[in-house]
Amino acid sequence: MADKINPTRMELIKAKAKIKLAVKGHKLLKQKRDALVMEFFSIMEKAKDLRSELNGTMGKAYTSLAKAQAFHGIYEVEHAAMATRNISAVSLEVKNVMGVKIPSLEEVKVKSSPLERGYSFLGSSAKTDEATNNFEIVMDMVLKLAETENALKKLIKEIEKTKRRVNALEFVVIPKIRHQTKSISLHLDELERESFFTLKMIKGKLARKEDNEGN
Amino acid sequence: MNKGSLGEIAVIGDNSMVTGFRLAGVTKYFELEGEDAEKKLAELLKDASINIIIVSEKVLYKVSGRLRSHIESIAKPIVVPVPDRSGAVEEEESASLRELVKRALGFDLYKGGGS
Repeated sequence: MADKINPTRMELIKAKAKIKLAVKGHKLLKQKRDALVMEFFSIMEKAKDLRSELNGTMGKAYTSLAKAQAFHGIYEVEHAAMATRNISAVSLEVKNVMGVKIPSLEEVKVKSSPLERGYSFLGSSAKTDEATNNFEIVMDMVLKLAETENALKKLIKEIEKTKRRVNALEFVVIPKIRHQTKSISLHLDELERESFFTLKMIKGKLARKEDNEGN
Repeated sequence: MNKGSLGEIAVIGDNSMVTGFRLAGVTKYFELEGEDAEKKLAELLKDASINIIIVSEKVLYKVSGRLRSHIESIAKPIVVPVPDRSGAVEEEESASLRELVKRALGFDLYKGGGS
């Protein structure tokens, strides 16, 4: 025990209260951790392979874009890009899970039919359409990723933090205070025995004295 | 902040990335790279009318640590890194989700096909 405390009854009471508090906190934190892990897994289901899928689709999308640009020239594609306007705004909600702020997005319609796209059929071809298509798929994935990846990272960080706290309480703080109370109560017992013994001794001495005087 | 709020999507990246996302319908775009992109990113983070920022991985993985941790700590706007034309960049080990999961939960979720 690094820090010395006075072995008094007051300290014992204080330490006992501390244990109670620490145990309560430990229990709460454990529950928090479990709740976070549950939330984590429910999001994880949705997000698991999204990142690697996105990387693949992204590559495909860039290839199709390059093809469209090579076929029509960069400027034609640029014009097409100027004309498309589907997503104006997305609705973002911030959820609060155990103190962790998690974004949740409303689903947005990203995919469009060639007629909705707005660029003219004259300056474009199937190649532009394909590029647009691919990027719409990408966009869809990005939106899903936006919602999940960020949340997962935050959750996992919080889980780690909570876990550390739980462990610190369980393996460091609580044992330490337990040890303290034990040493205090041992000491108090010792004192009690000591005074009991001195009392006995005095009593014995007095009795003997009385005996002697009685004779 | 409990109610959903409408906001725009912004893209920061190189020419191909920007053009591609414009084809998909994004209207707010910044064709920037390097430091300019980082500045723009910091600026957009403060903009309340933006909900999602799509940024190329190259840009995001180069930003300073402080901005990075700020990005990861806020819930709105969401910053999504996407690979640019040259393909996906591997994130540093310590920051990737996989590593984080491994450290926090004690096992590799991605390896054996999940829980």
